[in-house]
Amino acid sequence: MKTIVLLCVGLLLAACAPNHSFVFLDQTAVDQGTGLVWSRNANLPGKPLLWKADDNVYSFIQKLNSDNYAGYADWRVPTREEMAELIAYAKSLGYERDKLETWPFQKLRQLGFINVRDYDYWTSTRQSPEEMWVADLAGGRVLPKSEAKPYCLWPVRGGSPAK
Amino acid sequence: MYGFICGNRGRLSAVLLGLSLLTSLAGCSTTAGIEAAGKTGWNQEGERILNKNVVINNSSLAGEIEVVDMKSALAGDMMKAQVSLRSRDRDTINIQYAFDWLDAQGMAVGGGTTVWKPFIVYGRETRTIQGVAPDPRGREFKLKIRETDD
Repeated sequence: MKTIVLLCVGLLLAACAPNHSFVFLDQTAVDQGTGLVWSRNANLPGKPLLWKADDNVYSFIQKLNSDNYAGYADWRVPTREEMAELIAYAKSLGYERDKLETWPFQKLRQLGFINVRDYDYWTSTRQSPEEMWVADLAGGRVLPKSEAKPYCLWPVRGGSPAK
Repeated sequence: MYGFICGNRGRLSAVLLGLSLLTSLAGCSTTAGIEAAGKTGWNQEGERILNKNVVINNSSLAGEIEVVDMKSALAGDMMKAQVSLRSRDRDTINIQYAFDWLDAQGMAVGGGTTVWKPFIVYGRETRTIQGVAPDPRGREFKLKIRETDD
């Protein structure tokens, strides 16, 4: 009986979780489960960016929007939840801590994203006046880290960016 | 105690005179006018902002001239500053202005030499002064305004 209840709960949770299915286009990847549109290139700036400096994350996103990158002008920094969800999906494809080829950045590359770095990525979620939540695509964790350091940026659009 | 003060009255007077002289000299070391300072900063979202500060060292000039707006932008790598002044006087005011430029750490850039330029503000008029940093490191400016000698 207990097993059946657990099985039902598991099935219910699986039904509630976003059913990720990516459609890859030339410059974007559409997540049909969440409605989010990710840039296909996971390292568009080509280098880690700072949060508070010249040529920072804000100005890069501004430029993407003024250039109408991939036909859209509403690019933004993903939230902590959106990054965590992407990492959870990548891990669900088979993650083993001891096998580098199963780490989130590798799984996302295998899916069809390009330039996914084994590095920390910005989220738009602030933890404190000095810390932001940062997604580590190598270890697959989202943790608060100093906003004074440079991290990679993976722009996203669509969805509901509740912080 | 009374005896000590009476006995050292001459020395105390000299010390007080020296202190008052130092105080008056220190007063002369700042610009005897208005200083409009702007420093580049970023808000929590990472948007570039300008932290503004106006220092008045000459109340008579401050009664005639008012700093109404300060803006800055990047022209390529160079910081550009714009300060708008409004005359409160009905007569023409002759002033001089000079920009000082500092880097993000507050160190002077561009040699640190101050070049004063003449400027005329007609009665009740609003005029704009613009300046460009002499060096790409410039991230802070100080516009100094003073009255002409005549």
